[in-house]
Parts: sequence; C-alpha cells; structure tokens
Amino acid sequence: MPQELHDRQKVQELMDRGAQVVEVLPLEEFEEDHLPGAIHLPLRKIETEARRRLDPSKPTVVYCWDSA
Amino acid sequence: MTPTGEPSGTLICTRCGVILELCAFCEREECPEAICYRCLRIELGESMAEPHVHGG
Amino acid sequence: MDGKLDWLAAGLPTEGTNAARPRAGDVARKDVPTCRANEPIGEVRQRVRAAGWDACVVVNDERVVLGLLRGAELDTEQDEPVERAMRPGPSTFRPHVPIEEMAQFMVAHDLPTSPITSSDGRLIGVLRREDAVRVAHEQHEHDETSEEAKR
Repeated sequence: MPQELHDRQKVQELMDRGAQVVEVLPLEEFEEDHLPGAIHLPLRKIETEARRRLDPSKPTVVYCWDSA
Repeated sequence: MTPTGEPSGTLICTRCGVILELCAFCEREECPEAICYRCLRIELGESMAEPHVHGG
Repeated sequence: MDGKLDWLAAGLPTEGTNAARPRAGDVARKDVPTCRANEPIGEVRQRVRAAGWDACVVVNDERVVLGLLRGAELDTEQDEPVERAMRPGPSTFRPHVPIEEMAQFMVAHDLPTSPITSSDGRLIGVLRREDAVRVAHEQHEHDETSEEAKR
C-alpha cells in the first residue's frame, strides 16, 4: 500500500531491509548525487518501465528533490 | 538614485533585484555582492529556480 | 524524509559524481568552541582564545545553533550573558554545499567563518574561509590534472 514517508530513519530501515530505491529526477541530477543503491527511473518512464525494472515482491522507496 | 529608481544606499539583490535589509550570506547592510535568501539557496543547490513539473 | 534535498542536508552519504567532491560538511572544523546562551561572556572569551579560535557558536542542549560570537561580539567589555552579546539566528549553510561554491561566496563577501548545520539546525562545524579556499584550490588542481591525463 503506497504511503508517504517523511522520516529518514524509516527510509534507512527499509533500505537496510533490501528496499528498492528509485529516483525520478532527470538523469543529470541523478548522476550528480543519488541515495546509495538508488536506480534511475525518470517520472515520464515510470508507467512503462516500472514493471520491467522493479521487483514487485520488495518494498520500493521513490523520491524526488523535496516534498513540494 | 540607483538605475532602478531606489534611493542611493538601498541594498538590492545582485541576482534578482529584490530590495534587501541585509545580505542573506554575510548579513551585512553594505555588501557589494548582496544576495537575497531565495537566490542564495538556489545558488548553493538547496532550492530550485523552477520546481519540477510534478512539483517535487 | 522530504526528498533528496533533505537527505543531502542531513549530511548522509550519497553516490554519484558529486559524492567524491569535498563539501562544506567535510571541511568544516568540528572542534569549534561552543557555549550556552546563559554563560558569562568573559569566561567564554577566555576559553575560546585558549583554544586558538576567534569565534564561538552558541548552542542549546541539543546542539541547535542559537547564535554566533565573532570578533566584536566576543571582545565586548560588558560582563553580560552570551545571549546579550551574540548575533542571534545567524545564516547557516548545509553540509552538502560544494566547497568551491562556499569558498567563492566567503571570499566575495569577506566572511571569515560560516556555521554548517544539518537541516534541523544542529551544528556540524564551522567552515573557515582559509580552509574552504585551500580545499577548493586543491580540488581545482586535481580536476586539471585529471583532465590532462585524459587527453
């Protein structure tokens, strides 16, 4: 069930437990800095590529620049 | 008078022209490189000039 | 967490081309003297000078930055609590800001020190201009050497 996370510690716990981490920002921004282990999946490709690239059995954390 | 019409001695942001009380970086009233809080955060990579299409 | 910005601002590790480049949080001095707002300024001044510093950060019990004592604020002859002399709510900067940018700003604005804090306002350290300029210069030389090696 999707939910918003605002707690860094919870995000880290999920990452420690093997969650997939996805950044949706443009490639240039992803290449400069991304969370450890994050994969790049730009927003415009989420619908077409998520099924192929993500494991539905694992929790997934999706993040952008900020919470705006 | 400054070129934009403010009285001489008015501090303005050297990036966007907004009137300032203090430079947001050095907090001085007389700063030749005065910058406002918003422009400073953009230049230091803490904010974006324009939000992404989806807002994040 | 509120996005990548929040992660970066907390000084947490990242991967990518920027990750290996020095940032404000890496270069900031963690040994900057700190004090509480209710301490007498005379005692603080003695302690700061004995440590070889000319600045002191005023923090609360949770290390959240409340103010700054620099130069004239530290040298005031009044025997008063720190909170009367300090510069309250100073401009602070996040640990992920690239050191080259901080160095440029600190030189252009003639600022000797800048407090570096996490996104929740806790003190990470104080960045000194000479350290920022030195590291930025070293990084620039490293970049030039790398570029030449590629040719």
